[in-house]
Amino acid sequence: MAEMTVELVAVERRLWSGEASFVLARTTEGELGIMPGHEPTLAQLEEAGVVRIDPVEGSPLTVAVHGGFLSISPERVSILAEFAELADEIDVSRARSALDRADSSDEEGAAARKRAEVRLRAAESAAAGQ
Amino acid sequence: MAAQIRVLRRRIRSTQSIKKITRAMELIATSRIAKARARVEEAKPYAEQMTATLTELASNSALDHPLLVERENPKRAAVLVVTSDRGQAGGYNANVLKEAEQLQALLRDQGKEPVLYVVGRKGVNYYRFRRRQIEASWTGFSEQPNYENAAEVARTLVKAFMAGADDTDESDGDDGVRGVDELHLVYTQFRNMVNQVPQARRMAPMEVEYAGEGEGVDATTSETETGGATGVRPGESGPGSDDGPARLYAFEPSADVLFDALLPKYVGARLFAALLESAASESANRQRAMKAATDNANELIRTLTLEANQARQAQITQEISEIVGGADALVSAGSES
Repeated sequence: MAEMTVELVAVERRLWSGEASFVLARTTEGELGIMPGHEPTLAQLEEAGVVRIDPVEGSPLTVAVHGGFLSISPERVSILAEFAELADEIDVSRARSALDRADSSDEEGAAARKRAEVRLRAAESAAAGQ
Repeated sequence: MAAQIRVLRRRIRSTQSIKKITRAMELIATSRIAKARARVEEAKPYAEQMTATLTELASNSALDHPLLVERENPKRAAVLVVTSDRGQAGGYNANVLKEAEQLQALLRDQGKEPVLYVVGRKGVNYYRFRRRQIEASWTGFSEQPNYENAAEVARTLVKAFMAGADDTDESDGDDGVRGVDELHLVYTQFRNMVNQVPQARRMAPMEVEYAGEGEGVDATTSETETGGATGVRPGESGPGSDDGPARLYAFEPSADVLFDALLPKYVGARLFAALLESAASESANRQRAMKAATDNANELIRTLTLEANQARQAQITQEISEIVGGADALVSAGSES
């Protein structure tokens, strides 16, 4: 199977890099599935979203990505994120309490709510996939 | 006599406890330098990718974003000074603040009014003592900055910069907010363990350099060198892709919208890098200052111990001579009677 190099980089550290056969992300325009040999693309991911990476070896990775960008070339995919968390690093109970705490009346609270929701969604879909 | 020894002993004891504290601080600072440097390294991949992406975008979009365009007749310039929250760091804060003063003098000479933004309690105190106005300040994270902190500072600065776009000489523009026309950053660059240099840099408007023909546009600015990333581009490893203009990219959404979204994040990433370097520099300075303090304490303990021993010996000698003198007096008094 064809493969491509995928790099997932957050501001504070590189979260994951390796060979993968498929990446699924949602941009501001819509969902985007990337396979090796994809047309070169730069895209902005939705403010808080879930990205799935299917590595060549091992089980699919689910990542909660906040404020991300995507840079695609035929043999390489880079995901740049302000914050990113791998699904198995996500503390579900903490995300849930953050969700309860978040007050969606003001702008900041709404953003926090969105972030917590995405974290939960990433954790759930990872759990469902296994 | 006895009083003198007691005083000396007390001073030795207090110097010993000071030494314990400075020694502990030295050790903490040493471990923090290593940590801060590791974080600088960890933040590099993002800075590199960011530069690469911007490079691709710059060649595909109109370079007319406010962050890139030099303003005509700049009036106000924001100066962000990165200092530490605590002292005990030798000349660290003094050096940064001196550099900041020089920059402000330079800006005033150019007819621009400096507007102060300060990171770190020491800087806040410095300007408050001199009754200088601080536009905004952030404290509490100078030793271990998070990206969240950098993003918050970047948001404020970019907002002020954007608000300054429509200011004129008399009015504050349509938005009614007095913004700034330039962004400057004063931080401490970490060169190596013994050499940290205060640096003044301009963050915005960014300078876009064109790096030769056929290479596309290299959207490097003077600060990207701190991240060690200048014009690194992904996907260039394949043969044949090195030549010719930048490859044709598809954009989602359009290149200009992407550019607008990316630039503030770029400012944030660079600010974060500067904060991390400053943190490493702060720890390095503190480590050196505390090492000197510990050495001084050792020296002081040595001389004080010597003095105390001399005083003790003098006291004993005097006591002996008093006894001998007293005995002599008794003997001679007895022989007379």
